[in-house]
Amino acid sequence: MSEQRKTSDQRKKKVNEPFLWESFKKGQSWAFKRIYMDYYDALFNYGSRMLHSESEAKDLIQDLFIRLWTRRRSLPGIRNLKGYLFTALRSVIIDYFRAGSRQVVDSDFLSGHTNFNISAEQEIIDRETTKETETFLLQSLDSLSNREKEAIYLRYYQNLDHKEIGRIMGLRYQSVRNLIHKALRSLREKM
Amino acid sequence: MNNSIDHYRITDFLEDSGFVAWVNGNDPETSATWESWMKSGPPNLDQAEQAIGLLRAMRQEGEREVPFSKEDEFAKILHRIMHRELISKDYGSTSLRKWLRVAAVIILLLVSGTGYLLIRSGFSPGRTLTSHEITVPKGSRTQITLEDGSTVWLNAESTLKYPSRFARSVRQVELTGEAYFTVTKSPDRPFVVLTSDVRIKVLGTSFNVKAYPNEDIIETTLESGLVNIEKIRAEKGESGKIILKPRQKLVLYKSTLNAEITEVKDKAGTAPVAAEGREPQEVRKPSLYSNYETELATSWKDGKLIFRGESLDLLTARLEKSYNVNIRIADPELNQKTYTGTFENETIEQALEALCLASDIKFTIEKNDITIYK
Repeated sequence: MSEQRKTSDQRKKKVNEPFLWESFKKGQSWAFKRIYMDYYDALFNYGSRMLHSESEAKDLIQDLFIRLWTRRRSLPGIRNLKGYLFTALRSVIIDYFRAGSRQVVDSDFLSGHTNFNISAEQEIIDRETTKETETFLLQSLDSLSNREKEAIYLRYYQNLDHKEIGRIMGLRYQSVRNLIHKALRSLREKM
Repeated sequence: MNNSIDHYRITDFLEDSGFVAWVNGNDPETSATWESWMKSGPPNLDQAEQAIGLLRAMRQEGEREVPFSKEDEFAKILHRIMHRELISKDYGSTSLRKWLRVAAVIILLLVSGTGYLLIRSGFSPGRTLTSHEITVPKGSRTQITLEDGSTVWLNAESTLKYPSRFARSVRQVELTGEAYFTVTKSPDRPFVVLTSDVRIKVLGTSFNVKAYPNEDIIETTLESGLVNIEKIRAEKGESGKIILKPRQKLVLYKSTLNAEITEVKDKAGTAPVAAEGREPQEVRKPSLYSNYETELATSWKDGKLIFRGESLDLLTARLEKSYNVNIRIADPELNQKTYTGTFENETIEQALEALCLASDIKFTIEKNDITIYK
């Protein structure tokens, strides 16, 4: 365990997030850029899964950061910056769908579901430590419902806690727990 | 540790928030507990190991780096924001001071030949004589994206003049003060920075130029690529042309027209503020940005103030510019000490306190006037 990879979350811990956020709200461009650089990868990862399109994800993340900057003075204080940004991006994406900028492919999208795709097999196959079970489990993720996939994604791919996931997906804490429990149970049954 | 953990299967581990936090390194407190449990040879060790592998694989996938330039995307965002702010009412309704703090820039779009101020968004097609002039006040800095995609970080008390569309054969801008350029490659169209005394010509590169009118030196520091520097007032019989290589700095003395080339010192890391002749003291925690490699000359664009062996009066002159304050040194002998260190997005109070900790100085602040004494 000693060679445990440092995740970016650990690096980010060093930043005093409330200070970063307050500086950003005061219009300090360094803070704006820092937030952007720290969270772009994760936001793009999430956005491109929601949209199934990298170019649309890019555009909507631009919109997100422009919205954040122009409204910075009226934005609330935050508890978890990553969770807040994910919530904000999700609402930008939902607005985009609602505005009819794109045909809704998935009929249940507007009821809170996302057209969510998880495919980690390629990366997994590339890794030396791959074990059959892992590959199998990850492939099985595709059989989950969109909501389950999104909850699993936010919990494990993005390391967000149940409370944050609830905020992002607009669900109660217990519903998030249940959703993840149910998803894991159905994965387990496949094993 | 609870015995029931010995019966966990992969998915149980995944549902255990403590376990997930441990694997993701979020919870150093419980890590010893989990590690000793792993070492105790539990019957379901393989399940735990698979859960760890799975969690790591998912995290790795979730934070995979994007396959394109985040910087370029950021430049596009800034570009869109600038044009939006120019045309929004926000510009007129906010108090000037607030605006300065907020956008860090006053933008005057001078439409040559017409004599009135015109605020517009976007660039008009075809030939146009529109030129822009951006002046950054004391205490601020800003980033500008030019029409060809090149970006310019403009430091405090600096002015950049640039056309809304560059000419076909050359991309020319005029600079007073300090700026950091990242120039988009365009082999047929050199990029030229015109300062009071030198003309700096590049094809595509990153470099910093410091040419304040009230200082005798013009400094050009190159990060990558090659630049061609030409003295505007060359001595007779002298070509006046100088080629600068990466990690070199050119200093031109305006009074004598002498030029010196020096190698740029290595990374200006995170040295705490230290006064010479004493043990360097750790006055504050190491910088948050310590892994961001930033050169001395270009650090200002990231909100850092790095100084190496600078005397107090030079240091305070830089503080005055960055923080928009007036600093008076009451005891001239304080200038004999030199200082090395980094300030990063600190308030002026924090910066001065760091200095006080490093050497025996005191200070008073009254509005924007600061006095430093023994």
